[in-house]
Amino acid sequence: MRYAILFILLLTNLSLSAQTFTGKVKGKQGELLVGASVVASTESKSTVAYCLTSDKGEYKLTIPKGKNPASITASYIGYQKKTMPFADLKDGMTITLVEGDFQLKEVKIKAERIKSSGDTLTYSVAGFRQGQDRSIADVIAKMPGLEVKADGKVEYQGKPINKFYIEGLDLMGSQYGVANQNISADKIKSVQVLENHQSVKSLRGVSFSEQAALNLVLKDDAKAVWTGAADIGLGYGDDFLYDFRLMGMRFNKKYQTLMMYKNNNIGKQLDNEVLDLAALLKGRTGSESGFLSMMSVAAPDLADNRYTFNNSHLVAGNWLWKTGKDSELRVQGNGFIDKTDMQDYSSSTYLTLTDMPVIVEEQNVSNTRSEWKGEANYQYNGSKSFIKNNLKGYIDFNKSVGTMMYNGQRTDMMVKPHKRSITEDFQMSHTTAKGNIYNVESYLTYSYLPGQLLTIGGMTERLNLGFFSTQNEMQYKLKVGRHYLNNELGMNYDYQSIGVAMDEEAEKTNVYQLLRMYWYPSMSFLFGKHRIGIKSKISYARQSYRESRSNHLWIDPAVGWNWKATVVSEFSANVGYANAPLMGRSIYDTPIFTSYRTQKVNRGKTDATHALHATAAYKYTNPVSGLFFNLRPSYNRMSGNILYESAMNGNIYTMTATDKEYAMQTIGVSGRVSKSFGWAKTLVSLGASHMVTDYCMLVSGIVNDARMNTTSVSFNYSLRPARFLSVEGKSNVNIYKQKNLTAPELSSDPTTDWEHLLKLYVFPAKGWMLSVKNELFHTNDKSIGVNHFLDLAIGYKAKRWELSVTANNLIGTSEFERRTLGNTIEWYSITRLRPREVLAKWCLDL
Amino acid sequence: MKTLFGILAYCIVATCVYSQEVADTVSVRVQYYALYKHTQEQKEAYDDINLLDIGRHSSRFYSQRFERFLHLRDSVKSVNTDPMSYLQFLANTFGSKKGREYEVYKHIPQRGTLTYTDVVHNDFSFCYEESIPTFSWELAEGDTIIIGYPCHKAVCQFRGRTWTAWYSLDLPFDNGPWKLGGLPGLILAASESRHEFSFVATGIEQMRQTATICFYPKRYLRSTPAKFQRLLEDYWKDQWNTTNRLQGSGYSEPPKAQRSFNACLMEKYE
Repeated sequence: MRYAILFILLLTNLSLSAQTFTGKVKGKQGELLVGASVVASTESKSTVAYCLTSDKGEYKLTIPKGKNPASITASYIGYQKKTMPFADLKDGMTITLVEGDFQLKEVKIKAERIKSSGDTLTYSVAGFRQGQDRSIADVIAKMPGLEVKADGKVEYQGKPINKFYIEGLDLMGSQYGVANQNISADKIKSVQVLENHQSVKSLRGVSFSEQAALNLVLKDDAKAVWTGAADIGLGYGDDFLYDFRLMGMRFNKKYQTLMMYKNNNIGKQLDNEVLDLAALLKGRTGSESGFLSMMSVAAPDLADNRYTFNNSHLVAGNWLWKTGKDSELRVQGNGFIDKTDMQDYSSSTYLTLTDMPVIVEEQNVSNTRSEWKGEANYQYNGSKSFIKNNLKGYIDFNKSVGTMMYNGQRTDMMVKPHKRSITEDFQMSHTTAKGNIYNVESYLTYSYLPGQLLTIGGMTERLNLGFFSTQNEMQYKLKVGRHYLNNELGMNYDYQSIGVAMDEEAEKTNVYQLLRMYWYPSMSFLFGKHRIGIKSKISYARQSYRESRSNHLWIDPAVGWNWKATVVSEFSANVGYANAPLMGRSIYDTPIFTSYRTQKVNRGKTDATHALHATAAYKYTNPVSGLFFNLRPSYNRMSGNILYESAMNGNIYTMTATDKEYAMQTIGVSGRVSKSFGWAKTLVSLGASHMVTDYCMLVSGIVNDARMNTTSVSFNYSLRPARFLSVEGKSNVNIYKQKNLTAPELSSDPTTDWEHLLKLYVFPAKGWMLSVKNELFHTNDKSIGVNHFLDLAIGYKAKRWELSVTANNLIGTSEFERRTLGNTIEWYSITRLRPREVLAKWCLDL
Repeated sequence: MKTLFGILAYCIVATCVYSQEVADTVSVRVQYYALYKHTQEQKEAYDDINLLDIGRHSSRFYSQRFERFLHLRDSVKSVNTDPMSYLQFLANTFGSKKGREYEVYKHIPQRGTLTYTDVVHNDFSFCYEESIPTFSWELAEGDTIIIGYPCHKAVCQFRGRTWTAWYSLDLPFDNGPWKLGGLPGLILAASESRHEFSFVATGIEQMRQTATICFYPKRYLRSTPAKFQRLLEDYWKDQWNTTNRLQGSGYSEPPKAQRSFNACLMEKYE
């Protein structure tokens, strides 16, 4: 009996404590099975305990207290499951599995259907349900690959992005940091990339630019709602100051409108804030400008709001109607009125005249601008076709009036560079059933420029320019093996009529014509990590001007290479050759005054320039270590430049084209290294560049070789030592050296310009910000003193409004003197600056 | 036939290995429907479609949508090398369902190691290695059927979250979505207690065409789990300056309209 009780106790004891079984799981051939599962289940198939075999094929199964499993199952992929009663399991047992085919009960994996966007011109309707509730700042700045700097400058892979527009209007102003909060990301339908965008900085000689801009296209919203913003700024300097902005938007299912009125007299530029959408979407760099331009101030290296005395008003409107399920009509109009006063002193030395005469000019001029633009854009965006038609008109009544002291002599000034133009741009894109895409475009523009200029001799020159241009092209992609061959066939025709008359004489008119037909194939390849693109423009051009005619067959090839060697290193290179015909403005052979005392005559013979360019780059980007480095050498050679003979005929500086030509060659290299440190989120960077330009000038009929050396070094730093303080600064130096290699006595003295900038931001409490900006300019010319600027600002940001008080130029620096070196001329100028000014501004979201 | 297949597989594996990449062939592919949140502030979770490729000795978990986006992006890049066209492509796809960018490779580069890759701000690819995590699953009462497979329930605490997993004994894979695993059967569904992350299987197939699991270490910047977690937290707090720092630009005042978020992390490393 005692043994029976003991036996029963032993049995029950067994089930009241955890049991552990160890052993191995092997296959029929004796191979160890790693990761096989051994499962203890109850009769109703629920799991009591399990384990997975180790690297040595060993299992260790622990049955918890109180559990009584019914069976043990061992399984492994590729083998048949083996089930045995729990009682059969012994400690140390090897479970052997037999090979077997693993049969899955399949459930089909479906691929999601993506909405295809068809052709490249369609702007896809992006579904924002998946996006974050982001602000515009996020939408724009967070586009992959975009790098946004503090001052608003944005770069994409080294190419600067100029501007951000909403529906073609620059609502955010030039300061990117003041992003408009009214338009939240879910109101944005799509983002357009505008290549070759040129912000109208007309007078500085910035013509073609390789820059891009982004335009946000808004969604039509179901709810009809008005939103807007108002900024009211009032201040005092020498006189009352004002800075207003009023903006309203309304979104409807079928209708949307955006209207804006801005004005200021604090030096802010408004004329470049409205986008020339149609031209920019197609990469056209800007409308044709005439030979005359408004008077301008010798622009120092300062922000233009330090020396611009303006009174500007801008009114702009953008209306959109949905005319059908896939079509829309957009009308945009704007008017710009401005009166800017200019007073400055400059003395110019011509390096192309042996006696190097010095011309001293003191101008007191006011520019009145009145520019009006209208645009109508119709768009049909179907699943197979895309049609777009844009009609645009422009008219202005600009004039510059004032007086000039020319070498002590008083003379009246008047320039009226009027322009009227009309442009029609038609684009069509069609996707065939096979998926091939055809694009057709036809562009016509006519500009009429009736200009007037008062010359120093007291005569009035009347210019009558009529420029007609049409550009037509067709693009289609061909599949060649595994690659795509892009083709573009085009025909361009330009008709330029140049008429000039002095005072009452009869007008002398000459006509320049250019016909150019081309084929532009391009192809790209991918070899491992190397990307190579090859393109070549093959064109037949025919030019004519009076009796001069020329026919050309031109081949303009270009090759690009990009190699992402490792995740941190990237190499790239670009080589290309381009032929460009000389247009009317470089050919006309009637003497024309281009400014009140400059007269220019060209050869009257049709010709072209030829340019070879080669650039390379190496980029090292390591965000983990915080080290960034880039090196960019470049080479550029342009031949066919006309040599002009300069002479002073009394007070008139004449440039007469000769038959001689010269080649201009520029070799340069630029580099930058930057490192970020964990302490105080510090970033320091050092950049340098050096460029050597070789060119020629004619001095008294003799060809002189000359060289211009430009060196610049800059050092930047930024840190955030405490939550409430951030510091940013930069120091840079630019050295210019111009040398006349043939007649060294005609060389000019080198110029070294220094600039130091220090910005401090203090955030004492939530919403508050105090900023101090310190700028220092000095040069190697001892006669020019140090220019020091100090700006102060204090502001408070609430949820829907913002108040700020800014004090500019606290030190009261009234003039900026500088010496500038150009290829053929050296200037010394004194520019009048805006005085000490205080402005209080209240920005409100409506 | 088998030998031909073997040679082909060997060639594919050999090319991967030759370029110093680790490779495996896929035998089973499982599709999951996932819900996730990027930030704690967002009200509703976003969805994604994931795939789990199970190979002979490794596995890869990734987003089907993001994989398709990458193919599309690569074909755009191969057709036109102009960086502006690429920017145009990105502009066109902005805001569309691109899928989550993270991937989990189990037993890569060697058995017992897990490699996790992710992309920050569409531009910066990071990866880190850790050992395959161990889970202390507690078996729970409950049965259900998912895509026709009867499943059992298990619960565990893992790096700050309570996960409930449903696994099927008919699929004897020690695997599951994301980093989950360690059960005697494939995890066909998993969700965590705060309803911020979940996965449900929607399909399973035996791979008849050749598909490989290849990991390309050269494409990523190496980091650590703790550093990467810090980066994610910083990114959602101040996207402007975090991306500036990653690109080599200094600190600057973020735009007025930027909002600060708290990252919603799937796991928390101490």
